[in-house]
Amino acid sequence: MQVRDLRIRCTFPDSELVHGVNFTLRRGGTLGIVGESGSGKTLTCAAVLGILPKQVELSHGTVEIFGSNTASFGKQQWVDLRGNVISAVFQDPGSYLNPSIRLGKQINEVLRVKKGLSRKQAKQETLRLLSAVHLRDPELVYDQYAHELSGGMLQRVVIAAAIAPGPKILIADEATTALDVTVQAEVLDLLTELKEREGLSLVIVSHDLAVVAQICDDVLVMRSGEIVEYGPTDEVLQSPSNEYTKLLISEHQRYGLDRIIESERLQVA
Amino acid sequence: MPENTALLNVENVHVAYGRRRGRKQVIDSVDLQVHAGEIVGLIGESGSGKTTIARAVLGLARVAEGEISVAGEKVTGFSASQWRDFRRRGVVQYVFQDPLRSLDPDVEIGDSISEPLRIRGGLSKDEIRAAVCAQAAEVRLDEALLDRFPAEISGGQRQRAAIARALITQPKLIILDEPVSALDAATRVQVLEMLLSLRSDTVGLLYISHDIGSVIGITDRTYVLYRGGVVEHGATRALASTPQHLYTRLLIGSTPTLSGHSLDGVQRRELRAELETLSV
Repeated sequence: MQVRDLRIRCTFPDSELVHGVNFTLRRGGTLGIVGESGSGKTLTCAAVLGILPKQVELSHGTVEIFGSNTASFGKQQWVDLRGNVISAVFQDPGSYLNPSIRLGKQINEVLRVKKGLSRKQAKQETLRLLSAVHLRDPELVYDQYAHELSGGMLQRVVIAAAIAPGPKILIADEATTALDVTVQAEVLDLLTELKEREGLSLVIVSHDLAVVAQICDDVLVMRSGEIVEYGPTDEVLQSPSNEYTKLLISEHQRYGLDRIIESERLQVA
Repeated sequence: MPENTALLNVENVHVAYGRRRGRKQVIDSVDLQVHAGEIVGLIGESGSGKTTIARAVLGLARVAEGEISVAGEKVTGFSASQWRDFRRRGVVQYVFQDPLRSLDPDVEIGDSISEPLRIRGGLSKDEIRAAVCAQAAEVRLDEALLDRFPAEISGGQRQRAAIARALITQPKLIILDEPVSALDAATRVQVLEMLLSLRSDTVGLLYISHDIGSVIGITDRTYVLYRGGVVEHGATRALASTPQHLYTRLLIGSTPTLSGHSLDGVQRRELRAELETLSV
């Protein structure tokens, strides 16, 4: 996936929200996008997925996914692209699931529409997916409703649905933000595992630099609709060039676990 | 430190919600102290009972067993009118996570800050105005913002206003419940620095958070809450570098850091499995 000079504007009131974003996601790579609320990271993802809200439009630039420019895409091409090639999970898993339909059925639906599986095949595949995201009892979860599961478990269900059609790219937009730290670590482990096993390329969007540092090869730091820093994660962390990136790093060093790691060895294991 | 100097003394406290068969114990024999001059952390996952403890201290959750005293006064067993009087004096104050919801949207910031003083009474308008300005300066809130409404200022400024409102009665104990969780990185640093500057010999701070990072950043001692019970407590630095309890180890080992997790996925899975067997 290649994004070149992406500009997004709001038509009413007329203002530019994202001012020229460039990045490349390599096959099997992991890209992190860091920025605070309102920095344009979610809009950038929405543009890539072709789901910009009304009154917001792509005014300039191109998004190429596996070599094809999405600017010329019609409705059918977008439908073919979403799910099959590129998929996304968001912050609040509960609001992406239907509260009155059993969870298994919702994943079945994706498989039957996107892959044309029969009922029986779809059920089998759904159970496989539910166990692939490490839900302890796939058969039980299959027949449960969204309100019966915890946030971490729901996020796994949503991830299972997102990877069901076998996409090549998965965008996780603040997918672990609402979860407890220990559960966040589990979900990040899961994403890393899926990346290796299913050959996914990942885009991890987060306000937390440490989350991105954890699993991303490259990091892109956004502020007020602009890229202020972009490069390999190690380089950015070791020698940030932008003041805002420096601030994010120093926050962790002063008010974070990193403060202790620097001075003494952690003895956790 | 001798027991009687504790600003907040929570002793063997149990809290339960619901009645009869629906009764569920949410706080199980918790002991916790905050002394004057201290910043104490209370950390735990969502649903572990952090906020319930704070509510019990404020008289908002019924204590089923045990004793709580604040600044030498035994508050468990207070009657409704005793609570009213106690709150009016402003001995203990509470700061919530989301200042947009805790500040009245129809009231100017300055009036919101002065409200506790007006409720307490006994001060002239000029004295109140002077106290508000002094308080705003202490939390580094621009005086020009006092005439604005909550929606017209930024999240960091709102949180400062909420903290100023809490401080204006010169409370002995301040409970901060996730005060920086809703803030962006840059503002979070500023608010944490401001909180550190509040440290004084006469005030105690109880800092409640799920975020080990900010707890390490500003607290002296920390209590770790897991499923309604304190599983570990001690000096924050030692607790973070050499955690003892399984849950604390998992928590520290799961916290993302710039240099990578301190545990890998396999180690975390083992700890989690061990923890499960422990709690069954």
